[in-house]
Amino acid sequence: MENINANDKEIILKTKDLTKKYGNNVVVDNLNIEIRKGEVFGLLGPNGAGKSTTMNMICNLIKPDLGNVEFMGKDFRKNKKELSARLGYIPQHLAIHGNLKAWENVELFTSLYGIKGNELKSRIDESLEYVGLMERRNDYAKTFSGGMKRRLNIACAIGHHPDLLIFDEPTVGIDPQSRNFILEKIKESNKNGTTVIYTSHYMEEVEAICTRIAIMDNGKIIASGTSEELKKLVVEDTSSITLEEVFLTLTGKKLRDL
Amino acid sequence: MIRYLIKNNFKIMFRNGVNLLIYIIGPILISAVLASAFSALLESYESAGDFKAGYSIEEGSVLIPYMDALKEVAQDNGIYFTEYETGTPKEIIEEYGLGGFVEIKGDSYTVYESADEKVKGSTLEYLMTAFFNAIISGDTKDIKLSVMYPDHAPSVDSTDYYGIIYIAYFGWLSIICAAGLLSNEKKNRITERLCVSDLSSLKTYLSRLIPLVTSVLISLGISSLLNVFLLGVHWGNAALSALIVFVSILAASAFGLMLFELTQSMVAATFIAFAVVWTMGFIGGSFETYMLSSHPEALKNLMPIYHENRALVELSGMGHSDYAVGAIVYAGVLAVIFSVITVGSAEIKRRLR
Repeated sequence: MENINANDKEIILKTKDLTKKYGNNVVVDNLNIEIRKGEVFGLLGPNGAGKSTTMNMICNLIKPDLGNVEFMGKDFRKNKKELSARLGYIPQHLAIHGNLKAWENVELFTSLYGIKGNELKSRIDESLEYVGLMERRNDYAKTFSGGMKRRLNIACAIGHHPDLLIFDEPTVGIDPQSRNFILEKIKESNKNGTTVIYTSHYMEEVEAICTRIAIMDNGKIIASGTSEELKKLVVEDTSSITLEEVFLTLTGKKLRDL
Repeated sequence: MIRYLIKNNFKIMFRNGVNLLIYIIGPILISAVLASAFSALLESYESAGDFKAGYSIEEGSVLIPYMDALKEVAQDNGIYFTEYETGTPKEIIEEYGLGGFVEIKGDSYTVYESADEKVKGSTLEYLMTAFFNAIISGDTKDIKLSVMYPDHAPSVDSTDYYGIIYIAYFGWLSIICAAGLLSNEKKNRITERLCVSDLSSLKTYLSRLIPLVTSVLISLGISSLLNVFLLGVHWGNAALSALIVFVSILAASAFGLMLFELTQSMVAATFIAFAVVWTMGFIGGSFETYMLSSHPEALKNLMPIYHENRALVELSGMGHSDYAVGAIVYAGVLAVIFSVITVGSAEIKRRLR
C-alpha cells in the first residue's frame, strides 16, 4: 500500500483504503490518495488498471467494497447532498443531448445544482464563453464537430463552479487544435483555483498540465510524483527519457486488453 | 431545479419528428383504414325519427291514470300513441304501419316490435322502461326523457369507434415517445451525470414522466382534433373523454417507464409494452367491437384498456357511461402502483450502487 501525499496544502480529496472487487477480481486494491487544493493530479494506467473504477468511486457512481472517499474533509457518500455541488465531472463519453441546443444542454446540467433564473442564464453564457461556443449557443449539439461536442461536454460540468473538476480522458478523438484548447482551459481553471483530477492515455498531455502524476496498475498505485520524479525512478538523466517510456518500463509492454 | 430538466426533456421528446408522425398521423391513418374496411361489422347508428305507435289497455289496469302523461312524454319525444281496442298487436302494426305496439294488462306491459323497424321498437321499449321507472319512483309529473336510445343498442359507427379506440391504443404505447430520450441517456451515460449531481430517484422519474405525459397528450390531442375535422369522429362528452384519456396516458407512461427501469433496455421495454397492450386490447376488445366480444366479462374487466375504450365509446354514442369513473380510478391506481415500483427499484439500485 502506498500513500501519495503532497506537501502542506489543504487536502481536498482523500481516499482511504479504497477497494473494489468484481467476483474474485480485485479491481482497486486498498487505494490511498490525497489530493490537495490547487493541484492538477494526473492518474495514468493501462487499460484495466482500475482508473475508471477509481474515478467512479470518487464520483459516487460505484459503491466501494471497502474504504471511503473524503471530500472537503467529510465522508462523501454520507454527505452527498451537501458536497455533490462542489464536484464537476467531465466523463469520457459525450454525455450531452444532440436534440438540445448548446445553451439548453448547459442549462439542463447546471440547473441540477439548484441554480435558476438570471443566475442560471449568466452561468450558461459564462460556461459557453469559457469553452468558445458562445457564437454557436443556439445550434443543436448534434450539428457540432467532435471537438465542439467535447467542449460542450466540459461546459455542462463547470456552470455550477465546482471546487474539484474530474476529467476522464477529455481529449479522445479530437483534433490537435481542440485538444490544445481544452488543455489550455484546464490550466486556466487551475490558475483560478480549481483543483483537477485528470486521466488520459496521452502522456504528453499529462506531462504538460499535471503538477503530480500517479501511475496505477492492477488496482494499485505503483509510482507517483512529478514528471521529473517519475523519470528519475527509471534513469538518472531525465532528458533522455519520455514519460511514456517511464510508463512502459513500470507497467510493462504486454497488451492488457486481449 | 427539476423544472429545467422537465422542460428540456420535453423539448427532446417533442422535437423528435418520428414521434410526432407516429402520434399525430398514426391514429388517423389506422382508424381511417379500419373504419372503412370494417364499417359493415359495426351496426351503424340509425335515428328512429318520429313515428306512430299503438297501445291497448285492459279495463281496470293500474296504469290507466298514467296514460295521459305517457302520451304527452312520448309525443315530446316524437312518438305518437293511438289506442286500438280490437285486433292482435301483429295485425295492428301491419295494418296501420306502426313502429311498435304496447299491450298493457293489469300492472304490466308488453312491447311488440315490427320486424322491419327494430330501431323504433327498441326506442319504444326504452321509453316504456324509463316511464315505468319514473312511475315507480313517483316522479311522473315532470318526466323528461332526454336520451331516447336504449343502452344496449350500439350507437357509434365504425369511424367513431376506430377513431376513438386508436387514440386510446396509441396512448397506451406512450413509451415510444420517450425512446429517444431514454436511449440517449443510456447510450451517452447521461444518467451518470444525473447521479453525480445527486438527483433523487423520484426527481429523475418525474423529469421523465411529466414531459412524456405532456408530449403524448399534446400529440394525441392534435390527432383527436384532426380526427374530428377530417373524419368526423364524435367524442360525446369531450371534457370527460379528455380526462379519461389523460389518466390512461399517465398510467401507460408510468407502465412504460417501469418496464424501462426494470429491463434497462429500450428495445425490451417497447417489445413488452407492445405485447401487453396487444393482449389487453385483444381480451378487452380493442381489436374488435366490444359489443361482439366473446371473452369472459371477468377477464375483460381486468384490462384497463377495456374500461377506457368502453367508457369513451359509450360517451361518444350515448353521452354517458357507467364505465367512466371506473376507467379513471383504475388507470389512476395503476399509475400510482407503477410509479412506486419504478421509483422504489431505482432507489434500491442507487443505494446498492
